[in-house]
Amino acid sequence: MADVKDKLRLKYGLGHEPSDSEVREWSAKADSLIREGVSPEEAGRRAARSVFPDYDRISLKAEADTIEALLDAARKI
Amino acid sequence: MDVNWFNVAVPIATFVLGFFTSRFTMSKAERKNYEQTLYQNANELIEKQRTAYDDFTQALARYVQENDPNMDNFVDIATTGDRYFLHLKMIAEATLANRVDSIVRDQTIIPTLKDAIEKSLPKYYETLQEISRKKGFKYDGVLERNNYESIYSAVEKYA
Repeated sequence: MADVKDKLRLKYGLGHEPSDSEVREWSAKADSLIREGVSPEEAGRRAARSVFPDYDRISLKAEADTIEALLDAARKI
Repeated sequence: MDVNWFNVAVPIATFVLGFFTSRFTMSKAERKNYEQTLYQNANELIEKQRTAYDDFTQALARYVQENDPNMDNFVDIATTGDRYFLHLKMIAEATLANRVDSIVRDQTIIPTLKDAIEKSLPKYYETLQEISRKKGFKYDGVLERNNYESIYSAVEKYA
């Protein structure tokens, strides 16, 4: 479960580690969307967006910081 | 006479108002579809921008890892960087045209655009100018607000 939590946190840029019940809820929603014919990738994303209140918060926030750090490193060469 | 006028006016008013309300309001199902479209628009734009971001950061990482980066490595940064910021501009334009979901706009798009104009965009131009001076590569890019007007406007409007 810990591994799944970590993967979910990274994949969907969550600001917190999801709880067991959140993971179960996410999995049930994604599963039901897949059964409705939604592609797994899209189903996972939709389920994550509805279950996790901080969906996509971290990864995008970090974009400018990563670019800044890489530009700083390039400047020093 | 008054009665006749009334008899004619009521159906016309009903027709006209009915027509207007059916044009300018949406049923629950239409609204749900519309919201779903806006959400999909936002997601598609963000997906494309993620690819541009990956290309840009990979080009930067390659440059950093080279012992002696050459003009090609530099051009790679400039090309992928320009494309990344162009994608942000497209997202800003879609946002200004109300073509994206408002929650995604407020929670994801606007903070990203704000970070870009405050951090990565100025630093991008500054760094490319500095590298080109130091290494003797030809580069004459300058950050001009009017080239990225939509990004600034979207942040000013929604941040």
